[in-house]
Amino acid sequence: MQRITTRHLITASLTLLLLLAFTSIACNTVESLPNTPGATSTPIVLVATPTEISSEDAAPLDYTEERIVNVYDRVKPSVVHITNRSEVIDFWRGIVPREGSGSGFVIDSEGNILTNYHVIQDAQEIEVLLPGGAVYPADLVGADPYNDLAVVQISAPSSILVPIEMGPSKNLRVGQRVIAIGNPFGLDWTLTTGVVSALGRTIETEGGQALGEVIQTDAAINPGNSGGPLLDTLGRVIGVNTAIQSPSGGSVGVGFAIPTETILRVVPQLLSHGYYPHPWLGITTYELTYELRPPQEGPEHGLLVAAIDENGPADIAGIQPAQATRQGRSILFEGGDIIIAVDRIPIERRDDLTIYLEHNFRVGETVELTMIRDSEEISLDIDLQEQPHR
Amino acid sequence: MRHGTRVAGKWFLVFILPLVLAGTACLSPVTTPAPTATVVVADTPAADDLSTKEVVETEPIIISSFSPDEASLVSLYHKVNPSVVHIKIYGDGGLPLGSGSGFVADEDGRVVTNAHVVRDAVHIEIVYYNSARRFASVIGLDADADLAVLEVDEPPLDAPALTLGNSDQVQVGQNVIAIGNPFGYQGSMTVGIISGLGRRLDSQRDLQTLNQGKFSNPGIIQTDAAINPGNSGGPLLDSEGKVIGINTAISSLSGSSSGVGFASPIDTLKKLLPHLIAEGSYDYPWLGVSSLPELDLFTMQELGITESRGVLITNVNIGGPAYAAGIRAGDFIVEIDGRQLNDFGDLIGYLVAETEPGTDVEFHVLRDGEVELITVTLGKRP
Repeated sequence: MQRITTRHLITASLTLLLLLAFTSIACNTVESLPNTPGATSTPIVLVATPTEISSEDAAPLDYTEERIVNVYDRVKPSVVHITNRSEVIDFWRGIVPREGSGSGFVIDSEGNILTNYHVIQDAQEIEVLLPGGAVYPADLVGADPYNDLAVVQISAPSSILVPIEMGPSKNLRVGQRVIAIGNPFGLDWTLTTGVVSALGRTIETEGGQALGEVIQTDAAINPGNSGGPLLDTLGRVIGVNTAIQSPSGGSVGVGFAIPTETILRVVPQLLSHGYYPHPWLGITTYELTYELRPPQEGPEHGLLVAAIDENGPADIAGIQPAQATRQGRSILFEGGDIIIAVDRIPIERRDDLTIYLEHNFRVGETVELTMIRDSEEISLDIDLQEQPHR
Repeated sequence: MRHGTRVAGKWFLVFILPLVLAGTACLSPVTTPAPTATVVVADTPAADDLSTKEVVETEPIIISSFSPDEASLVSLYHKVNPSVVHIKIYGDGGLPLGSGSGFVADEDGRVVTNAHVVRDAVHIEIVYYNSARRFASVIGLDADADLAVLEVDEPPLDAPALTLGNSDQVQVGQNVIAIGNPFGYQGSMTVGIISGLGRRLDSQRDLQTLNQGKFSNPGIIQTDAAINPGNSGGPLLDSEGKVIGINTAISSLSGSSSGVGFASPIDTLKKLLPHLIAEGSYDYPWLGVSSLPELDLFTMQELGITESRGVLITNVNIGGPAYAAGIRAGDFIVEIDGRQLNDFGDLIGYLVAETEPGTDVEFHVLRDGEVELITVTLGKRP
C-alpha cells in the first residue's frame, strides 16, 4: 500500500462542522423551545409527518431519484439531531450558556448513537432529538478524539430505535453516488447528494493531527452536518461527515467523511472500553528535509529518532535515539536511528507512519521498522503497546 | 444608473488558480498523537452488528450495487483520471508559487491548461495521478482564450490523450464531470450539469494601447459542478468522458465554489491547439469594433433603435478593418454572413469559430432605418 499524501499548508482552513451558537441573547427561547434548532435565527416550521401525496399527483421519478427517495425514507428514522449544551465564562457577561448542534445516527437497539467527538466535546449536557420529535438526554459512552468519533447513549425504548445499516468501505469507488443526511444550519433531516470525489485523503484536523483514509465528496456538507451519515445508494453507511475545506465556512463542494472501516475498528472499543487503544511506538521524531537538514552522508528522507520513552516499545526493541547538543541557536543531532520504512513501505513523513500504524495495527501486534544506523540498513520488530493516557 | 431601476449585483469573477502553498514545517518535535480528553467509561455491551467486520479485498471491478449512472461515473473516473494532471509552478530557486490542473491533450503527451495557471512560472512540474513527476515548459500560450500548451520532458506512457468532444453540440441540462485539484486535493471528481451556454469571459490580456476595454473569450460553458481554487485548467467532461471544456473561472463572493463555474469551450482549444504547438501563439481575426455587454430597452429608446436583436457598435478603432470598410459608431449589425446575431457574444463567437485574418465577412448593417450591406476584410488582432 503506497501512500500518496497530498497535504498542503493552504490559506483556507479545514473546518469542522459543529454548528456553534452563543445563545446569551436568545437563551430564554432555547429553554422554552427544545425542539427548535437553537442555532438558527430563521424560524423553521417542523412538520412531523410528511404530507401524503397521491400517486396521481406525484411526478414520475427516474431510477436514480427512486433510489434516493427510498434511502431517505428508510434511513431518516436512524438519524438524530444532537445538541451540545455547556456554560462558558465570559469576561463581560459572566456565565453564558453555549449551544452547538450536530448530527448522529443510531447504531443499535440499545440506544447507542454514533457522532463526531467534536459534536459532544466539552458538553455539560447532551440532548438527542429523534425524528418523531422525542427528546432524550444522552450519556457519553466513549470517545476517540484522534479519529473524531464518539458514542452517546439514550434510554429510549427499542421500539422507536431504528439501527442504521453499516456498509463496507473497502470497495468504494470514486464517482459512485453518495447521500448525506444531517442538520446543516440546524435544518433537521436535510438530504444532500453528490459523488465520491476521491478516496484515501489525509486531512489535517483543527487540532493539527493528520487523519488518514478519509472520503472526499461534493455532496453539500455544512456546519451542523457533523456526525451525520454519508450513505451509498443502498442506504448503507460509508462514512461519518466530519469536516469541509472551505474559505467561506459553508459548503464549496469539498467535504470529508471518516470511512466505515475506521468506524468498525473504533466503535466496538468505544462501546466496550470507552476509549480506543491506539498502537504506540514510544518515539519522538524529526522529519529529515522537512524539519531537519539531512546528514551529508545518509538518506535524504526519513524520521530521525530524537527521543524514546523509557520502557516503551521502541526502547524494549533497542531503537537508539540521537544525541542532541545545542550550538548557538540551532540543535545538532548526532547518531540516532533514521526510520526509512514500515513493513518495507518507504516513509518520509511522521503522519505516514502514524496513519499506517493506526489503520493496520492493534495494540500487541508486531511491526517491522527499517532504519539506517551508522550507515547500515537494519530492521527491527517492535511489539506495539497501548498509547498512554496523558 | 440610468432610471435607477436596476440593482447593481455585487459579485466577483474569480480566476481559480491562486492556490498559494505557504508556510514552512514547524520545528517542534511531535510524538505519535495522544488522545487528550478524559473519557467516561460506561458499562455497555458491544454491539454485535458492528463487530462483524466485512473484509472485502479491493478489486477494480464495478460492484453490482451501483445504479447504471453510478457505474458509468465510476468507470469514467477510472478511464479519465490517469490523463488529468496536477500542475505545480515555481519561481526562481524553486519557490512554490501555486498550483492548478491540466490534462494530456495529444499523442505526444502535451498538456493543456489555463494560461493564468502557468503565466508567472519559471519552472513547471507536472504531477501525474500515480505520483510520476515531470518537468514541463510552455510552448504555446494565448491569454485571450486563457489557454496554454505545455511540452513535457519524456511524458509517461500510461497517461493517454483525452478525447476532445464538440462544445457546439452541448446542451443546458446535460450532466458534466470535472476532475482536478481543488485546494490541492489531486484527482478530485465533482459532478453537475451545464447551467448555461454562450457566456463570455474577459481576456487575461491588458491592452494599454487600445482604449476599448478587453477582448472577450466567447462560448463559455457555465456549470454547477463544484469548481474551486486549484481546478483551473482541468477538464470538464461529458458523460462519455469526452472533454467539452476547460475549467477556468468561478463567480463567487467567497472565492470558492458557489455553484457558478465557467469552462472555456473545447472547440476553441481544437482551433488553437495546432497553432499554439507550431507557432506558440494564435492570430485571431480582428474587426476593430466595441459594443455594450447588453442592449437594454432604455438605451434602445434613447438611441431610437427598435430592434433588440443585434449588435450596437459603440466604438470603431480608427485604422482598423471595420473602419476601413466604412462601419461607424452607432451602426447596428443584424446579420453576419447571413446569420442572425442576437448579441455581441454571437458576433465574437462567429469570428473566433468560423473566420481567420484575411477572411471577407458580409454584414447587414441597420443605419438610419436602412439596411446596408458592408463587406469587411478581417485583420489580425493586435
